[in-house]
Amino acid sequence: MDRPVLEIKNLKASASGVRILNGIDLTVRGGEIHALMGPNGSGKSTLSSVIMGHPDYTVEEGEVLLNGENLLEKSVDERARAGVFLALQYPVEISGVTNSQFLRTAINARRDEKNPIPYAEFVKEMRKAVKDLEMNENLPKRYLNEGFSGGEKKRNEILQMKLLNPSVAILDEIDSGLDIDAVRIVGSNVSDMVKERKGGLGVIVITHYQRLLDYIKPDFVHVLSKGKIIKSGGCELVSMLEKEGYSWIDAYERGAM
Amino acid sequence: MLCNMSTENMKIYDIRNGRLPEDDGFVRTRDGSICIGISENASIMLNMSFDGDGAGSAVNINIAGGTEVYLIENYRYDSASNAASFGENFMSCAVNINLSSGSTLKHQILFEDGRLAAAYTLKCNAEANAVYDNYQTNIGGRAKCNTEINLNGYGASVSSHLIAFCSGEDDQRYNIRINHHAKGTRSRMTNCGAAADASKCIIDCVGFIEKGASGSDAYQKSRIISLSEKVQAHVSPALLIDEYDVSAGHSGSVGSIDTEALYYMQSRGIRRQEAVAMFTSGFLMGAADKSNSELYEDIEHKVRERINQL
Ligand SMILES: Nc1ncnc2c1ncn2[C@@H]1O[C@H](COP(=O)(O)OP(=O)(O)OP(=O)(O)O)[C@@H](O)[C@H]1O
Ligand SMILES: [Mg+2]
Repeated sequence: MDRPVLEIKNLKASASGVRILNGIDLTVRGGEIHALMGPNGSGKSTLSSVIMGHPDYTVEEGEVLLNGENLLEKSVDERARAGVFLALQYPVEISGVTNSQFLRTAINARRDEKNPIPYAEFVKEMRKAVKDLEMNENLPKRYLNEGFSGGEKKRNEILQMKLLNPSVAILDEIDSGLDIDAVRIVGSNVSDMVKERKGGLGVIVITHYQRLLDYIKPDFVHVLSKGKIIKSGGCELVSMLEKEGYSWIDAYERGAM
Repeated sequence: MLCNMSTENMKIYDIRNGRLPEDDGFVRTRDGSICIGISENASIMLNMSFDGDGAGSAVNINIAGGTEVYLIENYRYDSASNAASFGENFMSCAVNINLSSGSTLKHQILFEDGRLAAAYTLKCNAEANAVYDNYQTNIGGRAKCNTEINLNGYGASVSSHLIAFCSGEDDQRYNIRINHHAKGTRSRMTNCGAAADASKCIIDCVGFIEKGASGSDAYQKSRIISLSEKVQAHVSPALLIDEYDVSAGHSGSVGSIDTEALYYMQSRGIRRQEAVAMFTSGFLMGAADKSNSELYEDIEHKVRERINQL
């Protein structure tokens, strides 16, 4: 079995003094795909923000390890360079910074200062990724996410993931805003990356819908409610949720199920 | 259009302390002022250097009807002749431009040299259907800049852009006023400033639409990013409108860097300082001319250098 890339142990976190995560335990091994589901407001995005180190959130208890190393004492950029990638639910628009300038800077931040990626090599990798994701060839030249359609923004997150080679990727509702073809394209790109990286990449996919998981087949499915993982299982959980929604949660928590 | 104009076929004039080395019939000295009368399409660069002892200069430019002109003014401190200079290196310059009917001017004004304390006054009168594109870039030093643009003829239009970067103890003040004196005139103003350390950056702008100048529109947008607590930054956008049948809008703000943007950049592995630099220069370059890529890259590079020194 591959070693864990990400270990979350009893993680409790809050924002503006309000507790949101109430003790999360989750281990992701290299090569594994975990789906994280759960009702709106259950804490899925918060969990990803806490892992990434968003300044709004305070960790109150627990640990997060990346490849065995304490992640929580690192700054946001150190976490990213250590191998965490978060595809945001709402990617930010940055005017005046082109997509390719942004990516090249991000790649070079991972390399020795004296050894930046040669321009030609960068262009080649970028072109390939753009092609794999069937994106518009102009997007690299445009300002980062500015005026991008909802779907273009999401594809752009995956483009970044492809070029940055993380060891754990958290994809927060990457399927929202994607048309049916784009879900397939994005989904199969992510699956292919996991296969190609042979145990070097673990993925957490946050989604509300089965469709994306048809292309990114999860090994494990977790249901988050009120900041806790209340149920874990395999793909059968997804079809159960598709059918029944989340109405069972209350009963389940009262121990009736 | 002017988009194709580059620095390639540019006529270049070196002007020290406001004095032209020799008249060439095109650029001349008259009553102590430099006079340029332009009657056919031209690209001109005025390299204005000053040794800092307070020299002044006046430039009068007349552009004939239907002519397209690309003009770069480049202001620099020339230390070579003034090794003993200390303290402030003052210079002043007044530029007067007349745009005849249907003429087009793209105008770049560059202050890239933090060692100058500049008093710069620009006045431009635009006649019917003249098109004026103004780009002022000031990436360091002290400056007091007054700009007055008069749209005097039907359909005259101006788009005015400012990039202002202040650091250290820089003190930059801008007064920009656009007067709509005729019907169907149009103005767009974009001012982008960034202030670091203990610098001052003050932008006052006014769009005035006179009674009778119906069918005109005036829009202005100004923002200063403040990069330190000690900065004094101020924007006052104003619209003075004496006519009903117009459209106008203005916005002005001073704020710090968007924290979500910084987080996003850092979440891709970019170090905080680099992220700040990238965000700030991206913001400032929003007011740059994108059609001359040579100049654009040059300015971007210099802006980045400045920010990297912080
Ligand atoms: N910065 C914050 N300050 C205060 N409350 C917050 C903050 N971030 C999240 N919350 C609250 O925490 C709870 C969990 O929010 P979160 O965004 O993590 O939910 P989610 O599971 O991602 O929901 P969705 O499916 O709608 O995306 C919500 O009640 C939300 O209002
Ligand atoms: Mg969410």
